[in-house]
Amino acid sequence: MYSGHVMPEQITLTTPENIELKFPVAGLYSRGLAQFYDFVYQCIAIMVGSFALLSMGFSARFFGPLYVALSFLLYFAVFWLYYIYYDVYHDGQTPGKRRLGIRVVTMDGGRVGWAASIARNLLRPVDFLPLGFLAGMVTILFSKHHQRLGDLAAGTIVIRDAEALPTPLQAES
Amino acid sequence: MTDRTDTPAVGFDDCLTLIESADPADRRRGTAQLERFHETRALRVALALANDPDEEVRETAREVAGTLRRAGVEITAGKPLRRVVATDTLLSSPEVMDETFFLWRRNRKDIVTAWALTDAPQILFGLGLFTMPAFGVRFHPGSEAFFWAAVLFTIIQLLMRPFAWMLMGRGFIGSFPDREAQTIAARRISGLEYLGFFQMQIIASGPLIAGFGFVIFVAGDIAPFAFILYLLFFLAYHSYTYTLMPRQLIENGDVFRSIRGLLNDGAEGYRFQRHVYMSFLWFMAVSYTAMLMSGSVLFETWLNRFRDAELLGVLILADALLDQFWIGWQITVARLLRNGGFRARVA
Repeated sequence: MYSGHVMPEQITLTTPENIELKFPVAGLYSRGLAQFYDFVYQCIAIMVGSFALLSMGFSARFFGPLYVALSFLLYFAVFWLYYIYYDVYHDGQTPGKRRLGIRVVTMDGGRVGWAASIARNLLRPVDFLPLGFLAGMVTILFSKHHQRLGDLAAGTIVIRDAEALPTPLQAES
Repeated sequence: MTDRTDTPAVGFDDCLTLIESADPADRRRGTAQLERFHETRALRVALALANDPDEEVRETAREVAGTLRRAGVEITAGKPLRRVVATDTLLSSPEVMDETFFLWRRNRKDIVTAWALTDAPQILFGLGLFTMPAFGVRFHPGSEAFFWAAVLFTIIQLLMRPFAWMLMGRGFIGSFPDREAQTIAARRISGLEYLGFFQMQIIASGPLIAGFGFVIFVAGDIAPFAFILYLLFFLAYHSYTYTLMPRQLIENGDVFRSIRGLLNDGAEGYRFQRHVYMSFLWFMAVSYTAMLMSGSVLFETWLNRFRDAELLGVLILADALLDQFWIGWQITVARLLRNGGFRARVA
């Protein structure tokens, strides 16, 4: 823990019970690093999956169309369902996000549902445009709540996994 | 939960007296009675008590705050609130890096303006490299053009870095709300300040520039081996001295004062600097790789080539672009060191 004159960005979310909760927002670096870790895990999963297919006797030579279809299914599962699965069933934390201590929540601080997760992940390729996740980085840097395009469309936000506290009293100017 | 049914009716001041009492029972009673006052001041007090160490007071206060809000009491009805979160804690080195982006966002107009002014020569230099093949200039390590480009780039760096720190540094430090930071941000620019930064630049970067020059132009056949040694030297020296420039910005004195500050932090300070340095190295490595890959794709598509001149041009433009965050990150680390924040680190 480092203390000093710093000001981590916070967001105040109002729950459906009308209670305001403050969360520290995850910054560009933490999000980028989490994405990097997830990408590494996905590559490992692809390698393991491909090896499993081959070891089960599937190969392009003997099972041409079936092998291609299974490979596509594997890629789809790893690169698309991965995020949706972890968003919905692991409280908005992919393994990469867990490593960095961040999570996705809805704008009222709740868990991410199917619709929101599908929306934010369908727009992931748009955030990637034109190259190197540029659109996503620019929108994170400039949007009010550090949201990428997918977050803006789905109404989600990435926060630090800290204990949520009700808004404390602030001194008047 | 405190029973509120048999509490006697009291005025708001009596209620505050109860809350300020040393007796826990009185405090709980006072907190519960806040619910009677459908006013902003009651909501303010309830929210302040929502973090109280006494669990019962805390629970009651949260419930009261919810009740008052549902009754239409709003905290924004009074004077505008001032942000007072000037001191906080960062839990990890990625958070130090995140903080840099937060700082950039808070004062981006000033920072980007300062960046455009002070990094313009470097940007023009990088763009100029792209035009070299068009003029038929042979550009590769060891060529005459490469030598003069290196000399020109070194001169640009040595002369412009002090300006970059004076302007961008002020922009970044102006993002902090505390009085000391605001005083530094509002300080008048002077020739003496430039001189201080220039001297510090020589101390912080001189050995690194000399070492790089040796590897490229002198090492000859042992260049690969020399480069590995240089990298080790770079990491050791740079991870120790990278807070010298922000210290100079904060101290605004003679360079020895800033160096003394670095030495006074001792081995503990160095460990902290080295620890957070790794997150920045990650950031630089990933950013440079992404930009080089993007650059190579663009140049291969448009020009069907991506060789020495273009590669160096992209690297120099990437360096100019990341300069803003590099300066901001150094300032964040230096301020954590200055306030003794690294001593509170929990392993």
